[in-house]
Amino acid sequence: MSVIGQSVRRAALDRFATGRGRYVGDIDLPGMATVVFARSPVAHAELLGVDVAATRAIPGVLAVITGDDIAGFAPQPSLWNLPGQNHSGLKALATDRLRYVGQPFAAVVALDRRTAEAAASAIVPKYRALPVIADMDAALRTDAPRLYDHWSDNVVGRPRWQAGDIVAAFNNAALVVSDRFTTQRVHPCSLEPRGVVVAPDLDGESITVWLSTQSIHQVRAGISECLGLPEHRIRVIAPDVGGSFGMKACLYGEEVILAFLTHRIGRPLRWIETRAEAFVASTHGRDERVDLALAFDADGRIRALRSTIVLDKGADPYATSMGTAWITGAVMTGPYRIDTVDIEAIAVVTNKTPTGAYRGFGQPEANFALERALDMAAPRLGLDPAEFRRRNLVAPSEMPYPTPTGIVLDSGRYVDLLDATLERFGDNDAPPSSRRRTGVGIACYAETTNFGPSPLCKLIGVDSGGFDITAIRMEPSGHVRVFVGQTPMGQGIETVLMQVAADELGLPIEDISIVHGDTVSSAYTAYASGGSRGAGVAGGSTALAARRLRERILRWGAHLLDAPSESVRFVQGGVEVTDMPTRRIGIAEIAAAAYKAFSTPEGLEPGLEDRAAYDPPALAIAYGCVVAQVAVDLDTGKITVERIVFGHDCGVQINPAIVEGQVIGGLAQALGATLFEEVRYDADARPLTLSLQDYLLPLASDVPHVELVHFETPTPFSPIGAKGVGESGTIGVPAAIANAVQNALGAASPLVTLPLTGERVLAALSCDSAPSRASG
Amino acid sequence: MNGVLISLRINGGAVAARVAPDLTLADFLRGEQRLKGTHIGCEEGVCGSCTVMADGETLRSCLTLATQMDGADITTVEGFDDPAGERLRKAFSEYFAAQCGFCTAGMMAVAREFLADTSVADHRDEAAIRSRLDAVVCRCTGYQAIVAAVRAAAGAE
Repeated sequence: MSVIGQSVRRAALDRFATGRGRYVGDIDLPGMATVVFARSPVAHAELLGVDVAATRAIPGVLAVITGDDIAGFAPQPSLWNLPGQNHSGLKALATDRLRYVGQPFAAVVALDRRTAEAAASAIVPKYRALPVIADMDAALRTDAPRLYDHWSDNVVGRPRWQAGDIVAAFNNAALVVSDRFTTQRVHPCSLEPRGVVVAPDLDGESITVWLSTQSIHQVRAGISECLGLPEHRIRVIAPDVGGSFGMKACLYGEEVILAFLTHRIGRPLRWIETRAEAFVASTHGRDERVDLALAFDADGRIRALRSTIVLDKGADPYATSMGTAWITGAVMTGPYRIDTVDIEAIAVVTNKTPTGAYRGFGQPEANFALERALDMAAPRLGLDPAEFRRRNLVAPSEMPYPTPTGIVLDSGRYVDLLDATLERFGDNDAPPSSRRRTGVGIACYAETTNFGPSPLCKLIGVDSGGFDITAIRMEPSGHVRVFVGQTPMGQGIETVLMQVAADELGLPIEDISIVHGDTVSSAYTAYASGGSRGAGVAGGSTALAARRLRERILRWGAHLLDAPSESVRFVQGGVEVTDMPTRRIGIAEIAAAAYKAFSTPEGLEPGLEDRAAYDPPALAIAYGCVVAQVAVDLDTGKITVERIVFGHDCGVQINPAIVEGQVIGGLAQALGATLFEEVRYDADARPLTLSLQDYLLPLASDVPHVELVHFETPTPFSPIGAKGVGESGTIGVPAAIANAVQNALGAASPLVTLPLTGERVLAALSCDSAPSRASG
Repeated sequence: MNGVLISLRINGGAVAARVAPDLTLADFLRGEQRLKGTHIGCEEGVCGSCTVMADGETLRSCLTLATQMDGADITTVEGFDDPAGERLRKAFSEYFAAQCGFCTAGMMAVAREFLADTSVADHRDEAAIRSRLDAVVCRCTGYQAIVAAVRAAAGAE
């Protein structure tokens, strides 16, 4: 029986449940010292000087460095560089200007954390305050102060997609609906904050970096570039990663500084981010505003879409740069048949913590606008929201369907899944009462997964290949070790890839072990574990490598059976002569012979090793449909999500329990971001959210029991038919909940801003002219 | 040697130590005691990752001073090797009740306290389980698998 489609247990969970996880903060090395960063207390200022003489004299302080000490560093690299976009040129520490509260400008090394913290807090920069750019509107004003003197404005870049006759389509429309939809700034908030441990290697020239990251090769490349230390001198290891969600996908300045300092001081060093620090030092997510207008004909078909997206990139367009806004634009047409568009995505810099990758990556922002707008249009066209969507969803017969922004909807049964999800949901049977209304909302989404292919990366400015490599080695005992580039961070990719190898080689899962998360021993991946690409792309390279190994084993088997290659076949646990199954040789015997090589087949070398790279021919588009039922308290505006039915298709499911965990886990994050999560700043761009007491995360009682409906439509763009699933839960949930709340509130003014706080709900209700009534 | 002398039991073994008056229990467990299974997620008592059991009740080890634990009987995730603990371990693993594993020790401590609470009418009641699990934040699972694991462990008793 194939191991594909089985909920194979994750061995890591046995470790976690016995307290044997090993996270970066658990690493103790002899002589290790602690690093603490001094961070900007102001949002925008000219940095006049940092006097650290007194700090250096504190007993227990081993070193203090400032921007003056890193003059030779190259700027922090940017992974995503659209043609013509602006770059900051910023380095790992602030040198001449402070651009956001929390930007590091000095680093202290001390024997222990207490000394380092006290010393760092005593460093006071001399600065002269500059006018602050507090939000995207301020950044876009023609008379706005500029964050970067070498830019002509505060705009990182503004890609645009145009197709069809947009003016005619809007002029001839039976109905136009438009509004401004805002997805707020959130924090990915992995429970394990970021952390770095570094140590000099014994050769005196190389270093090892233990890091809570999802991108070991990117970090190695970044440290190499910044310090001029070649990549063969840098080893990056990701131990257990305590959640990451995109936030740990990029190179951070702290990693470069610790690599530099361990060389300079000759000691192992540790930096573990505090929770308060995480709120200013780790990248935030979302913070996009989408102006969207849709033109419809009288039958409710979408004729055209016009949109302007603005992303608040924060102070530094490093790492993924304006990639999230680009993706928002690219997926704005969703799973729908829309051929006429004019979409512009603008990213601006402000005096806030940089935004970066966060699970969903621009897609929830697009979906919230599109699915809210559809619900705003449906009643005006006299259509039920589900029927309205059915008329516009792309049909299987139209696939592969190229969208006007260049995405190809490859496979899927969008309408069928919508219907199956609605059927599972049944009716809203929640009893309303005089001070409580209930409502139901729908959202459909299409999701870009299996990020690659490499030529697409080049086309859209991503400075990284889009392939993965897997190496595979059968040991002399007949057991198999798989070397992959993906990094487990809780998503379970290690088990998934072991299943793929086991399936291709016809071996039990116990005969497979996996190597990951170490640039010395793992296989290479450039883009790493992000973009919902692990199962489809690394699963692809693992399947291809295993098939090559299988072919090699077959040839060894034929040789040992003294039979022609074409007359033998690979079977569970061995090789046999096709029409004489009694002539059979087991895997272990073949492996032993291949490593003794007393007699080697013509054209083969001793040993059983293979490798393969897989570069997908195109993105694979997962899709889904969310039906949410909510109750709204009319006195407080509090929303309770009572029920969610989630229809989902990620192609072939390799491990259904892992798929389910990814969908529901992402859904819970989206629920938090829909109802209460928000990173707030005051009018002078000073952060107001510095604690988990200020930043509410969803708890067990906030999340309903989720019912899943699964389709499995294999993608043609992966050898194993798998699409990605990691981000799926985040995309349709905000719109589905907001549509349900709007459905509950009836004639209230439209909800267009996240999160849906009690205040916003009550404000919408105050515009409600209709008498209090239940709806559903 | 400076510090306050405390004696306590940790995971069944007697421990005597001199500790700084302001050393937290979390740092004591992770540092001197080398028990890394207790994780520090916020150091402000909100996330619950650092939750351990003291005399049968859960507490936040990041908000507890080691000196307060003089005479206490502490159980961390490493010490969940009795039948009740093993049931939870098995259920958490079988039901995929962890993803990144960072909150797991805290979740298991809260689940253990819940399952031992004789005032709870039905340990398999989903609302009761969720209400108790509200003590610990999980950012990965969306809680559904954890609820299933606790129900399974309750059923195995």
